[in-house]
Amino acid sequence: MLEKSLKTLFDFQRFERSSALQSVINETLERYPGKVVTLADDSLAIAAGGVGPEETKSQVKADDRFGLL
Amino acid sequence: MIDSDYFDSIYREYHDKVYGYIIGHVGISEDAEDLCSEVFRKAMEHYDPERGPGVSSYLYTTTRNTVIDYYRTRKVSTELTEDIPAEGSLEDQMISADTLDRLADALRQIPERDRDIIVLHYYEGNTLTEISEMMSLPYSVIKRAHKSALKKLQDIMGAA
Repeated sequence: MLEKSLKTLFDFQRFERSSALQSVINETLERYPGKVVTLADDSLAIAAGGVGPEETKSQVKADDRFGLL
Repeated sequence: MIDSDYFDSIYREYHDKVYGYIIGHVGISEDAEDLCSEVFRKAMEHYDPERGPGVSSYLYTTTRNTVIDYYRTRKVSTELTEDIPAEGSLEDQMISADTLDRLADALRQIPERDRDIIVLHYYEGNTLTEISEMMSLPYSVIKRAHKSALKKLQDIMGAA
């Protein structure tokens, strides 16, 4: 049960970005950088066209602010 | 349907979080923008601040489910969805910034090696085998340490 909860909480961290928890995470990642990931063929295409996880969009279209049109 | 002024404030506060989560999973900015719009469209139509979870929890679960649906629609390899936790794995009221801070505090109270195992396994998605290689420690040691770390976290967070 705790394992599933931790998985959810760490995934939620990717959304909420608690500075306290991110500090803990960053310390670990600094000690263990460069994780090697083997991608499946169909995910390679996505990775090739993707952007970094830190990119965010703050520019809002003036004529369609909420993208509802 | 929620009040437009309230929705406006939600959009301003959470847009970057929603988009950041989506782009981190999807990786294609054009699709991420569409999915982001879909999340806020759902929120505008369905979120009720008087009932149910807080707005952060609601938007997180809506965003997560929207990303899962995106993968299913595109028939992308199920391996990509393994990183996203299943719905119902945690009570909605447990999904909050406060719980994340409590987790951070609990992690600070356990040994560094145990803390690293937890972060590498549950945040980075490394298997225990990969972690044993990264730490240059036998798998059996990592497995025991992982179990011990879970027990300590359970005790700390259960007592908090």
